[in-house]
Amino acid sequence: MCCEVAADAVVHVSLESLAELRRNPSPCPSEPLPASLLKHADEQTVVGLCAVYQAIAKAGWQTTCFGDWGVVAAPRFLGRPAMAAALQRFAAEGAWGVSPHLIPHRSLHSVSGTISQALKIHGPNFGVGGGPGGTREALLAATALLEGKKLPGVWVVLTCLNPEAPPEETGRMPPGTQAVGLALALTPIPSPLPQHREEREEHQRLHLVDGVPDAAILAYLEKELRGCPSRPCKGTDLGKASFPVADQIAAERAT
Amino acid sequence: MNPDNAVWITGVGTATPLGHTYAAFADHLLAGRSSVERVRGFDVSEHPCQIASQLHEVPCPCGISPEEFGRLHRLELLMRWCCTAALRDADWWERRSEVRIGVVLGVGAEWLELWESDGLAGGRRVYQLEQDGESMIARTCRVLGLSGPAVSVSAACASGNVALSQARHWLQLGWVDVCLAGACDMAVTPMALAGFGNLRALSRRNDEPQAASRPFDRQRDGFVMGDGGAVFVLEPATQARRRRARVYAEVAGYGARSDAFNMVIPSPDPGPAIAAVREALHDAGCNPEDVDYINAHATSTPVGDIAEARVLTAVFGDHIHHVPISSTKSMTGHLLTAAAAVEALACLAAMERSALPPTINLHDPDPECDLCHVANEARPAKVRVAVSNSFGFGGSNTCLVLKAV
Repeated sequence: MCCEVAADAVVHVSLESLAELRRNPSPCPSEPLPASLLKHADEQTVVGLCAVYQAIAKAGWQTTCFGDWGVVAAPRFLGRPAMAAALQRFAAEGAWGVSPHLIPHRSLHSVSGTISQALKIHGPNFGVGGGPGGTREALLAATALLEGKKLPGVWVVLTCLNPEAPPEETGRMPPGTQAVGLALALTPIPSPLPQHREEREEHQRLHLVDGVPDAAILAYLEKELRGCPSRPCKGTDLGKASFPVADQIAAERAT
Repeated sequence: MNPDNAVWITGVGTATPLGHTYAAFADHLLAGRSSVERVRGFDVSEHPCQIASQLHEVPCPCGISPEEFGRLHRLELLMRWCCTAALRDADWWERRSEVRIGVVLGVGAEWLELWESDGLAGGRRVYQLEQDGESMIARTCRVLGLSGPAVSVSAACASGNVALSQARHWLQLGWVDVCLAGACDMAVTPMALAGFGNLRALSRRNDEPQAASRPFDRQRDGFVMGDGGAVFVLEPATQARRRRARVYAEVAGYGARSDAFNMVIPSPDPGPAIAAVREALHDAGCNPEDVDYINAHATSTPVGDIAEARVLTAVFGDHIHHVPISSTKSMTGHLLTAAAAVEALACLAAMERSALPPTINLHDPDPECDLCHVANEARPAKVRVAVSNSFGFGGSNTCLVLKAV
C-alpha cells in the first residue's frame, strides 16, 4: 500500500515564546478557538496544533473541512517537566496538590484529542508511541487507519522537546529548549482534496513494506525533529507553498 | 465483510482483580462479584476517593525467573504476563519465531506511571533521560522474540478497542501473520487516584467499596478506578481454521468517531457516538435486531451513563428495550486504558458461557437510562453477537462488534 504526504509543516518554537502560541496557535484561524482550549495543554500539544495549522495554511486548505479525517499524534516523553513539578508538589501538599489537569493533558492521547477538538475533526483520534520509536509507530498506525477505515486523510503529528534535557524540580526546562511539532497530512492516492500542485512522483510517496515505513522517511523525520534549525512559525508565504517533507524524502532516497 | 478476510480471536491472556485467567475472570464476573475494596499499598487518608479495584499480584509466566520478573515495573509485569498467556493459550508460544507476530497494545500513560512510581520510591528517573531508552512494548517484543511491528496506542478508556481495530487492519493488510492486541493499565497509583479524585470524577462512597460502582443506578456518584489488562491473539480465520485453533469469536466490526468537544466532558451532541455504533454494526454486517448483548461503557458517572443511554436509544430505537445491556465496571471498576479490552473479554465470556454478566448495585435504575438491564444477577442467554462500547477522554467514541464463530 502507499499513501501521499499531501501537506506538511515543521514548527520549532522556544518555550519562552510558547505563551503567545497558546493564545493564538493559528496563522489565520477561520474561527477563534475557545480561550480555555490550550490553557492547560502541554507544550507539545500547543506546538503540534500549531504545526497542523501551518500545514493547512501552506497547502491553501483554510476552507477545507477535515471533519471525517483522523488524527494520530506521537508526542515524545509527554509531560516530563509537568511530572517533575507534580512530584514535588505531591510531596509537599499530598493528594490535594495534584492538579486535575495532569491526567487529561499529559496522557498519550492528549495531543490528538486537543487537535481533534480544535479542528472539529470527528474521525478517530488517538495517541501512539510516547517514547523512542514513536515516529515509526505513528506512521504505521496512521497508514493502517487510512487504509482500514477508508478515511479521506489522517493528520500525523510528531512532537518533542529539543534538546531533551532534564527539567528543573519546578518543571522548568533549561533556557533555549524548543518545542518541536511536525505535521503530515497523509491522504490516499489519488487524494480527495483540492490540490494546488501536480501529483507527486512515485518516489515521493510514502511507502510501507509489510507495515514498515522506509528508512528514508524515518531518517528525514527524525532529523527534522532533532536537528532543530530555528525557524519562524508565523508568516508563511501562502503563495509559494512548498512541501519539504516530500522533497527531502526524495533527497534522502537519492543518497 | 468478506468471509475470507475475517479475523478471529484464538487466544486470551488476562490478569484482573477478578482473576488471572480467562476462566477465573468469567467465573467471578458471572457470579456478580465485586473486586472493589479500600485501597491498600499506599496512604489514602487524604484522598477524596479511597477505594479501587487493585491488582495486588501479577503471576510470573513460565520461562522468566521470579527474580527477573520482580525487577520489572508492575505495568510491564502485567504486559508480559498477558502476552505470554495469550500466545500459550492460542498454541503459538512454541512456534512464535516461525511467524510474524505483531503487537498493538493500549498503554495510556507508560512514562507517567514509571516516573511516578520511581519518584515516590525516592528515585530520580524523571530527571534521568538515559533510563528511558526503550519502551515497555519494544522490550516485551524483544524479550519474547516477536518479529512483527509493535505499537502502543491510547484513546484513553477506548484504547483496547483501538488496539483490536488496528490489529485487525494489520492482519487484513497482510502486514503480520498473527497479532497480539489488547490493553493493560496499572493506574491505581497515589497521584492518579488523587488526580481523578480532584477532577471530581470518582465515587466518594468510601464506606461501601463494593457498592460504589453502580452504573445506571440513580445513586451513582462517580467511577471507581481499577487495575488489570487483557491481551488477545488475533489471526486470519483461514489460518485459524487450517490449524484447527480454538476460536473465541470474530472481531467483526468497529466504529470510531470523535466528539471534538472537550477533553474530559462528553459532548451534549450524541451524533459522533451514535455514528460510531452505527459504523461498527455496518462494518459487522449486523442490524440492531441481530445484537444479543451490549456491554456498555457506563462508568457510573451522573453525566456519562445518561449520555450513553441516549446514544443506544437513538441507534436501537424501540428495540433497545429488548437488547440485554450491562456494565461490568460495576464489578471490575473502571480499568481506564485497559477497560475496553477487559470488556471485550466479558463479551467472550457471555458467548462461551451462554450467560449475560450483570450490572451489580443496580437497585434504583435511573429513569433517564431506560434500558433492558441485566440487573444484579447473571442471566442465561445465547449470545451470537455482542456489542462493546468504549468512550474516552479526548472525545473518543468507539464500538466493537464481536460475533460467535
